[in-house]
Amino acid sequence: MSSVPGDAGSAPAAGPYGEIFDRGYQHYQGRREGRAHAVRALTLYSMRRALGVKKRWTAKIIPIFLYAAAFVPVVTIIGVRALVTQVSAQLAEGFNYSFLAAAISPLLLIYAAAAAPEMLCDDRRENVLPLYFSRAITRVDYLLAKVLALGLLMGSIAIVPLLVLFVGNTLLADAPLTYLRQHPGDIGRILITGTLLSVYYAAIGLVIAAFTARKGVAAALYIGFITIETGVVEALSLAVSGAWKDYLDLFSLGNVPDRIVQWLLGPASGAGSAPVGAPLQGWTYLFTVAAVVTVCGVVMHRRYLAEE
Amino acid sequence: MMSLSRRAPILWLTLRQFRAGRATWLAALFAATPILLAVIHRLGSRSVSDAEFLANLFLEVLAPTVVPLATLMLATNALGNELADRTVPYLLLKPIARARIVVEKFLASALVTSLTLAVGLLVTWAVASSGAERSSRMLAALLGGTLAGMLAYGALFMLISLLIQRALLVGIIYALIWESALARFIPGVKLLSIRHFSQSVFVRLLDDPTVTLDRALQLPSALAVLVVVTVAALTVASLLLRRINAA
Repeated sequence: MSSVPGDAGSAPAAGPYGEIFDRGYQHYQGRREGRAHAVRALTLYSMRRALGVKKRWTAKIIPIFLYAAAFVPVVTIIGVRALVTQVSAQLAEGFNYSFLAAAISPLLLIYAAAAAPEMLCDDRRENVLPLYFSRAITRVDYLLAKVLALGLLMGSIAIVPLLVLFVGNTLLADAPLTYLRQHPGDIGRILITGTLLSVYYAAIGLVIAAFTARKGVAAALYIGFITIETGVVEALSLAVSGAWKDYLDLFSLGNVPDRIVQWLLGPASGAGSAPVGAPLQGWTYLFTVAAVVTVCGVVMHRRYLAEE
Repeated sequence: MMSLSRRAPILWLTLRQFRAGRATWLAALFAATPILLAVIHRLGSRSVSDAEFLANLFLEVLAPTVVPLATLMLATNALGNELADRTVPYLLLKPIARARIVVEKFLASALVTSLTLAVGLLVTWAVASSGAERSSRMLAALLGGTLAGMLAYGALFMLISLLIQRALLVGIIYALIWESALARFIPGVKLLSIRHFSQSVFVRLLDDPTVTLDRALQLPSALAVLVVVTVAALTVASLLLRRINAA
């Protein structure tokens, strides 16, 4: 009877039943870092992934192109102004904060299109969300970390080049300290503009990424949506007539960043788009930004609450 | 149907993949946006004539935005998804020549894209123009220009999708941002852009003295460019696919 395979596993009647073996498992004795640390770690990891750290070189092309496109012009202009003093004043006038910010705005659009899907799409596609949520972080923490990561990345392109220009302006001025005293609000305005633009582009990018499985499709949808929506609003403004026509400009999502830049940093020469009707007060575009960010936040929160 | 699945199995397979994926619907959505603009034109104050509207629509909306978006969506998916999902080995293990896989994949994406774009254009043309102003020449020019741009974008970016993972994003950056930047800053380089080539085909087919394009190509040279670009892209793509090991 003992040759029957199933027989070997059955316990002898006399022996103890349900013995506990010591396999050497140990309790974790180290520090427990908690939610805040988990959010920081996830933020850092998301940023590294979007930048293509430790990935194939093809994943790094777009970040490198974006950082080069954002920083090379400003560094070049400052260099030329430092070396060729005759053209310095003329260059300083043409290449001001507003011009630079309006030129960087399309780069932010590309950045959001490239990085936002990188934040959200793969985690859902590869079914690793349950792993995240079985850890210390909650769903809101997860979203917060992703928003923070994208915001920091985009801020590095929306704010830092302008700060470089500010430092350049200060150092190239005849009397740097006097220049600082004469332009006290510049840093504040640069920070506010960069933050508004980053948050605005990031919010739309993330909400689209939250509903698409493939990264490429999410990016295409994002850029396509913004471009076509802006085109439709422009066509609409040509077709209708009425007092409310000017307010259509508030809805042309692709042009709102230009308006914010023009409001906070002054008009730019030869950069940015013209409003569809009579120009509106600059602060009214804050409503668009606030509405877009709120709607995107709520939609994303709902989406991830329902996510299993 | 049976004969298609026998004669062109990869074509058949790709069409089935397109039917299952959501990218096809997105491409159709993009292809349908001109209809919205046509409706706005119809209901609006009619400050421009119908022919003028359609010509502007093609030169400023269709060729720069709608055609590349709708085309890239499927052209980069056809082979790119097989790479992303690591299903290329199963494809390559079949006793089918690599060149044939490339051609059939391209044909499938071109077929679906041209169908959606053609339907969108047909409805747009019917909505935007009425009565005496409805000209079949305009429709032919719209279809011809779109088809030319679609084929060139499709072949080129199917090749790119074999080379890099983010082909769709790179393609959109190229089509929407790079080509407009080129057109603005270096007018001569426009001759190398697909958008300009597709606009030239439109202008030449329309043959209307009021619709002009800076440095438009002649029709025969435009056709030559189309053939060269498509054949070269497909050839390089099949050479690249030949270098991938099946196992």
